[in-house]
Amino acid sequence: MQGIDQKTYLDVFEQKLYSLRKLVQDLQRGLPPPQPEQFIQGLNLIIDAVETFLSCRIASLQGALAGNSDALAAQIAFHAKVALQVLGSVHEQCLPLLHAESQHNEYLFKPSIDRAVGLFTKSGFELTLIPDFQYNYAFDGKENFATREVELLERHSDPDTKAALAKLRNEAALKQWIVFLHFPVAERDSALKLCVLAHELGHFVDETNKIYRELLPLELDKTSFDELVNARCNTPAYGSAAASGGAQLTFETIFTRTGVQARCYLSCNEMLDRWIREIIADILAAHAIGPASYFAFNDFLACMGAENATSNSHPAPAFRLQLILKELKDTMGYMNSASAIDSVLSEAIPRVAAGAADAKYRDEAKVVHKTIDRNLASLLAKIRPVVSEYSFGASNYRSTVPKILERLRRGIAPIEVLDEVQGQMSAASVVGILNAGWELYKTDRAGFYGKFKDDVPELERLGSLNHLLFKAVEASEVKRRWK
Amino acid sequence: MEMSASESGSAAESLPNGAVLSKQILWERIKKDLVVSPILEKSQVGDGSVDISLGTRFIRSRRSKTTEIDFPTLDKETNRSFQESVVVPFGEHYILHPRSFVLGCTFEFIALPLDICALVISRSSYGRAGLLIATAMFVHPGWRGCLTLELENLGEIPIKLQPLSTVGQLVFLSAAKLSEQPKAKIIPVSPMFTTLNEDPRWKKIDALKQNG
Repeated sequence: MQGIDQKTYLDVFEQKLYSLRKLVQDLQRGLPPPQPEQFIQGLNLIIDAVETFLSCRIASLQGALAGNSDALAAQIAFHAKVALQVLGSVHEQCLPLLHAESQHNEYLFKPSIDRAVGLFTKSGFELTLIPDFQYNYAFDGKENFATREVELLERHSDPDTKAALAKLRNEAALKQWIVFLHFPVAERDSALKLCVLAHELGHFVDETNKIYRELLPLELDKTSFDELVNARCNTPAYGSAAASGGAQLTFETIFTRTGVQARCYLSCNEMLDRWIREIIADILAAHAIGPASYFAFNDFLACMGAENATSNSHPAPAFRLQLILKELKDTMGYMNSASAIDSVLSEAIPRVAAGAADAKYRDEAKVVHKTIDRNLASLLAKIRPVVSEYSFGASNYRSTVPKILERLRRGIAPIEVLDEVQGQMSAASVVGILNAGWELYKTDRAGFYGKFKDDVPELERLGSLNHLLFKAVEASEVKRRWK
Repeated sequence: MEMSASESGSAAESLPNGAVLSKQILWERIKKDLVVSPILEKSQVGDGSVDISLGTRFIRSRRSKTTEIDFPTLDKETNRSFQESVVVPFGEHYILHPRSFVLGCTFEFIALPLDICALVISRSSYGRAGLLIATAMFVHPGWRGCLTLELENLGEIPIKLQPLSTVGQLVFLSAAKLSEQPKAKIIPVSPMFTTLNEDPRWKKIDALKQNG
């Protein structure tokens, strides 16, 4: 801004630096252990790097522009503004994540998530759960986030500054990935609903294994793409011609048909990229946690009142539910018996199929949907190998869940189950625990609720079910790691 | 399926009520219907007792505007005004200062069959350092959940409390078999504060006062 001298910029930079450091310290003090140490270390690295950047640049400029005070003042002001911008983005984008983490769940289930993710990725990572007031689950992965910021500063630096920044960056030795999994704070105490996190973890596995690169690019469905281009070419630009009394201006008139085609191609591919990533995460979650992924996702959609419509980022909900159910049935062996869980899943198939058939696809969504539909078999065939080793298929379900469920039905936290072969108690599988919880909730809720005195409200009984599940996940993980 | 003592043909069945269960019987019942879970080490199960360890969740009192604990009127809101929940992850610790008090709970989830009761006993090694772990020592047949431990430092030096440290023991005794599983008000997996306000006796005491 004109009229503000360099000294003011330097003063406010000092103040901002002080307040930001203090905020990080205060927020860190309020965080329950285990804290996101790598993230905090990364934040401090960026703050230190910005300070180093500015002081080194000023020293360098003072030498280079010694005889030109106006140019020196302008350059110092410019660099101070850049430094302030970086600090501003740390303040606005990173500190809310630290703050939100204080609203943690009191159960220690993150070690189980860390173990599960560790099966799929070789990269170093630090994972933090972020409760949000927005009703949504989201994955926010920052690859080399702090070092990348420092490298950006290095790129705009003289050799001395660059060396100082590189030293800071190298000394930090941060993990490659800092991952934030956002979940609705309202679901903090629901082990059942938090199963949606498996989908978000699917995004992380996709990012680290670059599965989407194997699947893309895809040739767009020609018929629907041509329809889209034709429709766009004839789309009136700047309102109706009748209103102005002149010839109708269309997108084709302005951009030419090739231009319209190029725009459609870009927008379709952007949408395709996002939808494919959602499908990857859905399929990975279905394999990783079995029917629990379907139930949790189904309830999540109901809870958010989702319309059966597409968006730029997501395919239609019913299409996704159908995809998960088909995967459970056709590839994972569910729904081929009269068991309670198979019956519940089978009952959902016609309802979900009707919903998928009813979903409306227009414009780019129609092209992308048709493209995916046409290539679905080959897409799924490329996703499955990533997770096949850990797929929770029907045979796994039958060998683990009934024993866990039997304990849960009796109001016992299913931490251990009797290993008949070894004749000793062994840690219950986390996936088994979550699926037992869903099976009980979906098929015999009344039986479980009947264990309580009549004056206990139903929601408190449901709360007890969730607490038993959390306790089982937490304690079975300790048992597993104890050896 | 859960087996009753008679179905299981357990040796406990032949014991007189009040007899302490031997190590062999304890293992037998753990594999059938007695739950003390998880058992991290086999050595936790001894003759007549199973070691229990400290969980990760605590409830501590803090100074507040609450002037007194009046049991008949104590409700959740009042509880919240002078209590706070603390989670201590594995590997961390909670400092219990001299003459201070905190509610903790067992890491183990416990479910007693209908013919077994238990007593909560402090480990003498901790007791000698001034740590008292329980005042409500008796656990009824059929009870299930994580036991609330009333932890008090009676010594002069602060004590570090670590989750998973074995602070006590459960001594199991055979009992006259209940006819059915008692219904639960709650299945606790965290420490529970007093629910004395729900005691029906307060109303009777009050009625006595009103009737002169």
